[in-house]
Parts: sequence; structure tokens; C-alpha cells
Amino acid sequence: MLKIMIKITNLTKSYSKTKIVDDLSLEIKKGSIFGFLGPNGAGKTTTIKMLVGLSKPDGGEIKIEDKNISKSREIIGFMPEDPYFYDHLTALEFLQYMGSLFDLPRHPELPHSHPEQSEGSRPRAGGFARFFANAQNDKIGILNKINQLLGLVGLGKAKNQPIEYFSKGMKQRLGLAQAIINDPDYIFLDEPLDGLDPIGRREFKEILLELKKRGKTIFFNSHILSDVEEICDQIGIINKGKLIYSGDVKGFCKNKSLEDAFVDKILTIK
Amino acid sequence: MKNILVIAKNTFKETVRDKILYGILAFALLFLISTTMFGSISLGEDIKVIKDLGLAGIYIFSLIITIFLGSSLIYKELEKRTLYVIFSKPVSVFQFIIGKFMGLWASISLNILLMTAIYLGIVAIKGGGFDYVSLFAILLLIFEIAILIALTILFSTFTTPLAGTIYTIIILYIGHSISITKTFAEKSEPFVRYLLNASYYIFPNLEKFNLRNDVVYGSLPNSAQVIYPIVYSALFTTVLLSLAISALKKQDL
Amino acid sequence: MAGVVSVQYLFDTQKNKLPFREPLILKPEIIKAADLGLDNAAADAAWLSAIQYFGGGESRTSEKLPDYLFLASDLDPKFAYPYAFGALVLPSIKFTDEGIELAKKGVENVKNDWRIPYYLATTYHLNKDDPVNAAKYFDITANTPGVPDGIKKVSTRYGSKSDKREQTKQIWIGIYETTNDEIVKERAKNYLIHFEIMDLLDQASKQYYKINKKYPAELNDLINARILKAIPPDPFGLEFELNQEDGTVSVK
Repeated sequence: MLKIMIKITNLTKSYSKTKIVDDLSLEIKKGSIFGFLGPNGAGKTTTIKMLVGLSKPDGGEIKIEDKNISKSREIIGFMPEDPYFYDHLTALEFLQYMGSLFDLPRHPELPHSHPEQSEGSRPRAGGFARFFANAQNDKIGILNKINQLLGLVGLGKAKNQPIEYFSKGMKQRLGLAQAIINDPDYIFLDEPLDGLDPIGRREFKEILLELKKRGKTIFFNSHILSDVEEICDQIGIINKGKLIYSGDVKGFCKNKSLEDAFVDKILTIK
Repeated sequence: MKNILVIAKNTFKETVRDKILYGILAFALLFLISTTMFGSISLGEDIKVIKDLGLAGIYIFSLIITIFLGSSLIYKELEKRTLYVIFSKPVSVFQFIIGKFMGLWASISLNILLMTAIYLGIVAIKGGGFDYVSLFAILLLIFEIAILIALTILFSTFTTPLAGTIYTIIILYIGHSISITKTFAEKSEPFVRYLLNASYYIFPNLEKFNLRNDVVYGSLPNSAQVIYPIVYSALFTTVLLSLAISALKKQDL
Repeated sequence: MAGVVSVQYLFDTQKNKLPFREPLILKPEIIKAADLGLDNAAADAAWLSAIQYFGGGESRTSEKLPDYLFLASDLDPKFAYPYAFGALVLPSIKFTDEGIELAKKGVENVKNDWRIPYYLATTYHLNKDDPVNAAKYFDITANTPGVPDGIKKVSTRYGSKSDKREQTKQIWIGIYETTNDEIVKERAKNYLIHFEIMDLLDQASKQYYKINKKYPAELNDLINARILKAIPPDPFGLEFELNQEDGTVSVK
């Protein structure tokens, strides 16, 4: 029986008299992947920004492990939509920067890493084991960890390149990397698969599934329905600020493809 | 606080590598070299002219660098993209603003010192010896720049880079002519006098940081002339940054 | 290529037709309000403009020179050279009083530049024929720190020699030897040549007397008597005449 770890109750947010998020309530179970869907402008990004504490709700509340978001920042990770980074830092420097904003790693000391794994440009499952296993406190340990993380997201070769030369896909990968650098229990992603080619999308999905295997809880916005179909346990559908469905994927689709079911549902509401 | 240092260090790295900055520095170098030409046509007053124009040039270029780096860089962050990545982590607005300020100040100060080194070299080559008195003028310049950096940061929390640049330049001019305002105030009617006196205290009095006209004659400043402006800068900067922190805290990202 | 050359040629001819525009002179208060505290640099700009304006040759008159020099001194009262330069040059372009006023301001504001009182004293001696004030300022010169020995000598000896021409010549020698300023050096040189010519004519006149037992009636007599080959031209374009009674040379 999975526990409810993220609890959203009657969430409301307005901008100049228009309700962007209207009385939204959701429960997300620990260790699950939750996909949040909706047409453009439905309120997905506004919701996720409130979940990670970037904007304040006008009404309702959000609890992660029964605590407010302001107390939970060490254990969450966030990847914004279309992220912008610092042009003149390299990927490595940037991740070192992001990593150092947290307190020291929380996991106990474990065996050494294998450095050659970090050079690859394709993530491998073994890389996961090393990334999550190696949590030494000393500088070299942290550097190794970051190198592994870069290898994991497929940026091993580009780690010393200034970010201004990164393609959109590379920036997405870096975005994911900085979202999981602190080995968070709760990961929030806004359109994580945007701008990736099919190979990239596959790699990302593998990473997300692996993260789930390790007990992470993942909440992500998307409008690429086929991907959502593949990896989500639960979905929520939002339209014009209101939640119109919450539950598992099969229950929603009922033998149709997710896309068809989605479009039908949205059109019937209109 | 560790986070402040981390943010400062990375802000420094990011700003110091800007290519446009190298361009501005190159112009500064050309200008400093050209002061020797002006010196040569000054009928025997070359060292004085080189020093005056050199220090003036360092000042103007420092202002250009500050306004350029201050308004565009902070605005890009406040374009709310890097901010999402920063503030979803355990970083407070206080740490962010102070860290940004420190990083920018360090980076701009480095550039000021580079220009100063070139200036000292030119003065020495032209026979003026090692102009160590000018270092006091440079010291106060660095503290004057601190106020301006805090100002650009404050403006960037609530307005566009262009508007912020214009406001900063206006305050720069007010800051340097403010003492004249005070004497003017004495001659005016009570209401105007009150207004002018108030503005004298509200706007930063930047003329107190100006030793450029004195160091050229070799006169060493006394300790009051150096310590008082530094303290003033620290206090004024603190006020400006506090305002910036409140302004940013209020905002929904 | 032909296009480039013709455009350049047209541009150059156009440029010559445009009237010469002197750089603007603004009030010091305005400049001080606008220059972000860079008063010294503004003073230097005024000074450089003054030199260009005066020595550049394009401007027809030198009327604005006092304005430039006063502006420089308003912006930077400790800037020594404009005071000295003005003291010497302004009187020669009929701005004697302005030159004196400027130099006096200089003597007040600058305590360690001997050139200012020296040139002021020269002006009192030469242009105002005022030995009292000249002596006063020569005295100040002699007591200014850093004054070269030669100058100090001339200054302290002022008034003790009766020969005015010799005295003036010594003053100008002092200036010629100590200045780095091309304009002032040129002026000093011209004075020295001027006095040399007068000395030469004096000697020629005495020689004539030795031969003819009387002084020449006019300068050409010196040539006719084969004492001089020609009358050297005066650098200031002045003409000389002889006093037949005592054979002294003076300016017409």
C-alpha cells in the first residue's frame, strides 16, 4: 500500500481576476510517476511552480511528507520548462555550482566509483548504480559524482563546454541533471521531454523509470501523450484551471489511445 | 554563509568571461595609450594631462562596465528562468542578492585594477614614476562603484534594463552635482529648500569619492577623506540591497 | 577606385569651404555640473583647446584665448601652466590686463611654480612699464621654491642695472632656457634676436662714429659705409631708427 506523499488541497491561483488554477486537489503516492496533462494555458506550469514554492497559492495548501514546501527544498528537485542557464559556465561548473547550494550529501559512504564510466555519451544502467551509490563527502568524491551524473544524462563529452554552445536537447539533459543532483526524493519536471529527439526521449524515459525503481516520486507536466502513456502510473488532466480527471491511465483510456481519449474529453467539456 | 560565497564565486566566473567585457577593456587600453598623445601636445604639461585623462578614462570605462554588466546580467536572471532553478533549491533571496552583488563587485573591481595597472605603467614609462597616490583615488572608485552596482541590482528587480540604465545614469549625475544643489538650497524659499535638502540626503553623494582632482597634485588624502566615504558606501549599499531583497521577495516567480 | 578618389577629393574641397568653427566655451558651472566630477580633465581639455586654437593657425583671431585660459583655471585652480602662459602671451595680443588678472589669480592659487610670478613681472616690466610691480613679482619669484638659479639671479638683480634693454634681455634669456613650451620658446627667441639686432645696430653705429666722427643720420648710412651688409629683419616686423645726437637705436 503506497503512502500518499504529495497532498494538494483546494489549490487556487489567480492573475488579475482570472483563475488560472481553480480548486485543484490531488494526491500523489510515494514512488509513483504522475503525469499532469492539459492543453496549453490550462494551468500546468502555474501548478508546478506552486508545488516547488516559486509562487504562492492564493488559496489551498500543498504538503510534501506533511510539511510545507519551504521546509522541503533539500529533498526536491525541479526542472523548469525551457530552462536558461549561465552562458559562460561549463556544464561541469554549473552542476558543481548547483550541487554546492545543498548541504552535504545525505547518504552514507559507499565504495569508490569507476571513472571510465563517466566518459560515455549514452547512459547505462550501471551508471545509475554508481551515481546513487557513491556519496563520499570529500571534494573528489563530489566531483566524481557529478561526472557520473553528466555521463548518465549523456553529457559526458560536453562537460567542459560553455553552456552557450549547447543545443536545446543538451540543455534539457543538463536541466534534468541539476534536478537530481541532490538525490532528491521528489522530482518535479515541466515538459522534460520537450526538444529531445526520439533517442533522447527514450533515454530520459529510462532514467525516469530507474528513478522510480529507486523509490523516487516523480511529478511531470507534459503534452506528449504517448510518452505519458508509457511511463505514468497515474495521470491528472487539467483544463482551464480545473481538474477534470485524476486516476490511472487505463481507467481513462478505456481501449482508446490516450490521445483520442484526451481530445474527446477536452472537446466534450467545451 | 556558504551559499553567498558559492553564488558570488559563480557570478564572478560568469561575468568575468563575457566577451563584450573584453571589447570594452580593449577600448580602455586604447584610450589610456592615447592619453600620451594628448600629453605630447600639451606644451610641457604631459604628465599632468596623462594622469588627469587616464584617471578620467578609468572612471568612465568603469561606469560603462558597471552599467553594462549590472543591468543586462541581472535582468537575464530575473527574466525568471535561472531564478526557477535557483529558488527551487534551499537558497534564500537574501543569499542570492548578496551573493550576486559580491560576485559582480569582485569582477568589476578586477577590471578596474587591470586598467589601473596599465595606467601606472604608462605614467611610469612617461617619466612620472610610480603614481602610488592615485591608488587612493582607485580605492574610492571601487567603493563608489559598489553603490552603483547595488543601484543596478535594485532597479533590475522591478524594471527593464533600459529603464534601469537611464535611472542609474540620472542618479549618477545627481550624485556628482548634489553639493551644488545644497548651496543652491540655501538661497531658496523654505519649501524648495526643504525639498532640496531632502534630496541631498536621499541621493547618493558621489562627489565625496572623487580624489581624482587632488591626487594628480600629489597630495595624499587624510584618513577622514578615505574612511568616511568607505563607511558611507557600506551603509548606502546595505540600504539599496535591502530594498532589492524586499522587492524580489514580494514577487511571484 | 576612381570613385573613391573623386569622392575623397570632393570631400576635401568641401571641407575647406566650411567656415572655421571654434570649439564652444561653456560656463564653468555648467561644465562642473555635467562632467561627473572630472574637473581636472575638463580643465585639460580647455587648455588643449586653447593651445590648438592659438597655435593651430586656422582661426583668424585670438580673441577667445583669454576665455579658454580663464575657463581652465576656473575648472582647476591649481593648474599652473595656463596662468603662466597667459601672463606671457595675452599681453602680446593686446589682452594685457586680462593677462595680469589671470597671473595674479595664479600667484594666489599656485604656490610652487616660479614661472607665474616671473612671467607676470616680465609683463609689468615690458608692457606696463611698471617697475614697482615688476619688482614685487620678481621678488616673489626669487622666493618661490624650486626656482632655478639663473632665474633667481635675474629676479634679485632687477632694478639694480640701469640698462633697461640689457635687463629685459636677461629676463628673456631666463625664459628661453627654462621653458619646454614651443610657443613660449619661440617668443623668447624672437625677443632675443630683436635685442641682438638692436645691440648690433648700436655697435655698428659706434663704429661709424669712430670712422666719421659723427653718428649716422639713418640706417642705410651704415650699409653705405660698408659697416653692415644689410639691416637684419626684425622678427616682430618692427622698424628701427637712429637718434643722431647720441647714436642710440630705438624702435620707430
